[in-house]
Amino acid sequence: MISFFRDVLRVLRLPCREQTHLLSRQLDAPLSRGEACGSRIHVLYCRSCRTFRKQIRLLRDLAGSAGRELQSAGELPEDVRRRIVKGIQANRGRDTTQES
Amino acid sequence: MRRRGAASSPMELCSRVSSLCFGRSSSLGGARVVALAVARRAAVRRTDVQVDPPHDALFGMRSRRLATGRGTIAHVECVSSVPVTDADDQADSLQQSPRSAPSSAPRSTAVSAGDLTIVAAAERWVREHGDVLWRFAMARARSKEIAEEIIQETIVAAMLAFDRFSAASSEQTWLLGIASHKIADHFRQLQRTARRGESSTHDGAGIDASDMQDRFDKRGKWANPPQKWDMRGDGAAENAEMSAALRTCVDALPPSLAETVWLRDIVGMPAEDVCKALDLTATNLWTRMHRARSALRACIERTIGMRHEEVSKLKAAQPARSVGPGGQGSP
Repeated sequence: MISFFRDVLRVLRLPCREQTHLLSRQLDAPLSRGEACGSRIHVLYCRSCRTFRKQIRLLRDLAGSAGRELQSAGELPEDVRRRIVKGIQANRGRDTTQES
Repeated sequence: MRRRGAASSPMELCSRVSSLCFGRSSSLGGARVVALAVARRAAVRRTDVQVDPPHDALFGMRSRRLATGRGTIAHVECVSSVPVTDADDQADSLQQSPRSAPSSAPRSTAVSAGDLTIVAAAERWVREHGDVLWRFAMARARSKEIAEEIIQETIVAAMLAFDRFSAASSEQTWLLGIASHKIADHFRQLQRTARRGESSTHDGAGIDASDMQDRFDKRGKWANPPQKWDMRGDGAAENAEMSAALRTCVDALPPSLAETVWLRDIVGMPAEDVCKALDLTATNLWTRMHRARSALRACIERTIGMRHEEVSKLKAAQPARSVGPGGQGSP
C-alpha cells in the first residue's frame, strides 16, 4: 500500500516529458498499479498528454491492422522458394570449398 | 536439455560429435572426422556432455555448442577429411591451425552428408518460416527481388550464427530478428546512396528533422503541444488515409527505429520477443518505441496538417474559378 502511494506521488510529480514516456511504455509493458494510477490522474487534467495518449494508441491500432493485412498478403512463391534453396546450396558449396 | 551419457575418452567424444555433426558415428567405416574443442582440451575431456535439443535439428553446422557438466560451453568444430588416429593429436594440431589441417586430405563422403543435413535444415526454415519471412520482407522492401535477396541473406546468416541462437526465443522470432537487421542494412545503404546522389528534393512527406526533436521546454512541459487530428468521421476513408501516412512515416524513420516499430506494432510481436530478436534490453526497447511513436505522431500531424492546408487552398480557389470563365456561361 505504501509503495502504491509512493508510486502515485512520484508519477504525479513528473513533468509531461516523462509522462509521455510512461504513456508509451504502457503500450509495451504493464506499469505498476501506482504508476498507472498516477499516470491516469495526470492525463485527467493535462489535455496535451491526453491527446498524445489517444494519438499513439490510434497509431498502434493502425499499425496492428496493417499487420493483420500483412498476414493475408500471400505465401512465398514456389519459384522464389526454389531459388532461395538453390542459393543456399550454392553458398554452402562455396563455404566448404573455402574451408578445404 | 537432453542429457547424453558420459563420454569416457576424447575419442568417444569425437565419435559422438561426429554423429551429431554428420548424423553418423565416426567409428562406422572409419569416417574421418575430428572434433575440435576450441575451448581447450580440458573441455573435450569433460565426461558429462549435454546437447541443446534445438541444436540437434541442425546436424552439420560447422560450429556447434556443447554444454559441459559445469555449464561451460565448448565450441566444437566438425572438420572432415582428416584421418583420426589419435584424437588428442588431431585436436592439438587443429587448435594450432584449424583451417590448414583438412586441406591436405581429400574430401570425404562425410562432408557431403554434413552439407546435405545443413541444406535440409535451411530448407526446413524456408519451408516452415518462409511465408512469414516473405510477407515481412515484401511488406518492408516492396520489391520481389529485394525480398528474395533478404530471405536468402537471412537464412545464410542464420546458418552461420546458429551457435549464438538461444533456445529462449523461438526459431521464427530469431529469423525475423535477423531479417529485420538485413532490411535495416538495406535501408541504410539506400539512405547512404541517396545522400551521395544528393537529391535533396524533400517533398514534405516522411520524417522531418523537427519530428525527431524534443517538443518540450527545459522544465519538461509541452513547448509544442500535440494538435488534435481533425477526423472528419468517415471511418474507412479516414483510416486508409491515416494508414498511408503512417506507412510513409514508418519508412522514413531511422532504420533502427523502423525495425522496432515493425516487429512490435506491425507484426505484433510481444515486447520480450522483440528484445530477444533485436538483442535489446527492455529499457532500450521502451526508449526506442517512445522515440519512434513520438516521431511518427509528429510526422502524421504534419502530413495531415499539410493535406488540410491543400484542401482549404483548393476550396478557396474553387469559387474564384467558378466566377471566372465558367461563371460567364461558357458551355
